Amino acid sequence: MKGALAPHLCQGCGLPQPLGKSPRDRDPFVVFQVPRRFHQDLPQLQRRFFELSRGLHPDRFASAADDVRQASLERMSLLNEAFQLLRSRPQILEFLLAESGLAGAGAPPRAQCSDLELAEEWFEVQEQVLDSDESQAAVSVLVAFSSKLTEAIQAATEALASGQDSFDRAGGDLVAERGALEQLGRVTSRATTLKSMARDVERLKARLKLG
Amino acid sequence: MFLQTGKINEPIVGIDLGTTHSLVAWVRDGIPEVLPTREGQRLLPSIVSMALGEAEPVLGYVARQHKVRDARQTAFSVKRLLGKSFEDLKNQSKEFPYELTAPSDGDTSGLVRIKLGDRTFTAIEISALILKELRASAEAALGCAVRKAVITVPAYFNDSQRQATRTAGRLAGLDVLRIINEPTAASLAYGLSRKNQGLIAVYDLGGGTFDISILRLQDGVFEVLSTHGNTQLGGDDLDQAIIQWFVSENHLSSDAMTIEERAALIEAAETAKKTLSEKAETSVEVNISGTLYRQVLSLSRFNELCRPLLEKTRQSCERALADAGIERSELTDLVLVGGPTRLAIVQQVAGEIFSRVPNTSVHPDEVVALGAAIQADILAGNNQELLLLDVVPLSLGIETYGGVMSVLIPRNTKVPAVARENFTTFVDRQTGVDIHVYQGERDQVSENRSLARFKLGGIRPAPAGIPRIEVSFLVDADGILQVTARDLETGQLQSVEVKPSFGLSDAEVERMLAEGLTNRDSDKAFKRVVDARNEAEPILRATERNLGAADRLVGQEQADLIRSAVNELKLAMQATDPVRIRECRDGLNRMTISLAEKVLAETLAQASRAAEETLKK
Repeated sequence: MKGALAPHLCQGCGLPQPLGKSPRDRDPFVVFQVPRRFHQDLPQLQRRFFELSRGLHPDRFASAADDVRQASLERMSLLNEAFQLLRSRPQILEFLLAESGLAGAGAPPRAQCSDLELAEEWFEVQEQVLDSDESQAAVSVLVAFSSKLTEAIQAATEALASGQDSFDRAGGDLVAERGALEQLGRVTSRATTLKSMARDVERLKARLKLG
Repeated sequence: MFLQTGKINEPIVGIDLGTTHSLVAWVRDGIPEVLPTREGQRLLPSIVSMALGEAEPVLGYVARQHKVRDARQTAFSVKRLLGKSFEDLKNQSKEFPYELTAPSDGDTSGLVRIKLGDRTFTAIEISALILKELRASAEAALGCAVRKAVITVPAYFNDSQRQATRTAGRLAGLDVLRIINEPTAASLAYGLSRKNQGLIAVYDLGGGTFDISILRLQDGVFEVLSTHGNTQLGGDDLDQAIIQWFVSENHLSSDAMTIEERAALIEAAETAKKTLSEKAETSVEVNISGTLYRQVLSLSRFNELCRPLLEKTRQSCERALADAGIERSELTDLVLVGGPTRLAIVQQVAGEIFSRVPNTSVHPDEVVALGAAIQADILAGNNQELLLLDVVPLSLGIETYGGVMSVLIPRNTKVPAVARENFTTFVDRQTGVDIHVYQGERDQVSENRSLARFKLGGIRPAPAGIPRIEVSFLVDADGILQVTARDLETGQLQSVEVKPSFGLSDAEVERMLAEGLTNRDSDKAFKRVVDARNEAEPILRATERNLGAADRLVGQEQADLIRSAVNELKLAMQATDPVRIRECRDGLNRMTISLAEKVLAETLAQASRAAEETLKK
């Protein structure tokens, strides 16, 4: 039996097997048997996708028994899902964070000093703009804050990229990987806060017709 | 008495159920070919006429003759009505000379009904009649029962329209193995004959629908990257443009026209459109209220009428390119599909949109059915080389607080696609949860298409927010939604009750099957003939195989009797009387007992001689 297909098919009969209950069975890296990293070899991923599709797609089992067809349907939809995830670094990040318990419920609280400072500044800017009857001075304060925010978002984006690089460099060293992920979790959360602040800024700008 | 060893392989056909015409194809020795209709044509006009006083409908070219004469009894372009309610169509009802009504219970959101004479039908039933005729045509052409099919739909068809197509197949006695998208099917036929690698755009303008699909062809895999379209734009709209032009030029009012006059006008517009694909000028003539109106239509005026409609395809094409993440210049082929793409103006607009000369080498009417036949061959396991990977055309989501659409499966996700969502209860001891599923691209559910309501039942009574139910939304390879639910505490599957928003319930389908608009008696009779033929086939084959040795083994007199019994059986099998076929088969069987015994004895003798030879050595 061909290498990449082996985990998906019965060794005896060559038919797709029902998915197991273990989360490992749904792990996109395991499904594709590619290294656990952010930077994927896209042409290789595409070739592997075709190879696996040929062995798992429901079209190959149109006249098979119901349970075989069901297994093929489950495996193929999982394959499609994993293919999409592995081609997107933000989705890989989301997956790895959730897997390590660093995102969603149970994630450690991570208020950041820089966030707090920016948040306080944002409240002051809003008050100034609204109290000052949208004066020219208030507008320039808003514009200045906006460019500061853009810089902060830029820095967060760079931190995300370098965090992903250091995860990949860890190359299976679990402690180093965990460290990189914790760092990435903090940056992700900061980026989310900054982006939501940026949306509020844009809304206020629109109200002042600043385009 | 010969042993039967051969297995009868059941054919799977490919069907293009089109707005203006339909056709059926299959693959013989790896090559797809169109099967002729019972009218002896390659195409079956998708027209069904219930002539007054006739119990049986007429279809195809015969029905087309009724289109003007019996306009009130003749349904055409019903594909545009599939999965639609009366409410959906109230602004368009003038385009159809036949009468559209709400269901008898007056529910305008239920499936629209078509009134032909004193009977009413759903578009599903009319489509089933067309499919049944195609099935009968295939059976006549292949000489065996046809029960399995692949049917094509516009790529941009939503879940309700796909369900409606599948139900029509079921009513026609077909096991619909797969619903596939028309442009994808076309690409299969296009790519098969050229063994292409590359990026192709299929621009498919049919009688009633428009689709654009972008595909990557690589190593026999046809991977759809994106699809977009408009299910209310096609050749019919070009006819409507001619009609509006004619009506306004002559200061007529379409409201004041009779159904027959409207039908005559549609007919004249269609003819003019066809003429203009070859000539630079035509004239449209229609008799209205006793006056003959005549108007010359030049090709350039016609092109002006068409352009705004065709420009509507531009946005779809651009979205498809953007979703595929490719630039125009990366495309290797632009393939045109569908009857209206014969028009120079359509080729011109498509070429402008993609900045390249379109490929018009495929047969625009037949390529979709040929592709469906190839997919049927793949499903039959005869073709391991090719594989189709398609996408879901519209985003699928559920209604959340405030009527907001929460997207679970974005458009152009590869199918089969799955999304999981956890639900809980809002009040203590709540045992059911309603989930309303929509399809579409807008943020507000009210602007999207309601697909179905799912009711999760049998939730364990518990305080609010405690139960955790995981619901899986799975879009299968047909592009049709399946919903399953599981209690995460107990692992138990939950019941899911489905109420389709625009479709027939299972009970309604059962009733239609039982009532048999689709004439079950003749089905059964036909099946008996086919069964009798299949039973007779092996003995006929075996006898013919041994006929050469018959003179030697049983004498010339007996051999002549066998030869005439063979001829008699062959004649009976060409006719349709199952009793006669069985008689002849039994006759041949009796006649060949001694021949069979002699053949067997000879074979055994040869075998034992051979064994002796081996022993001697």
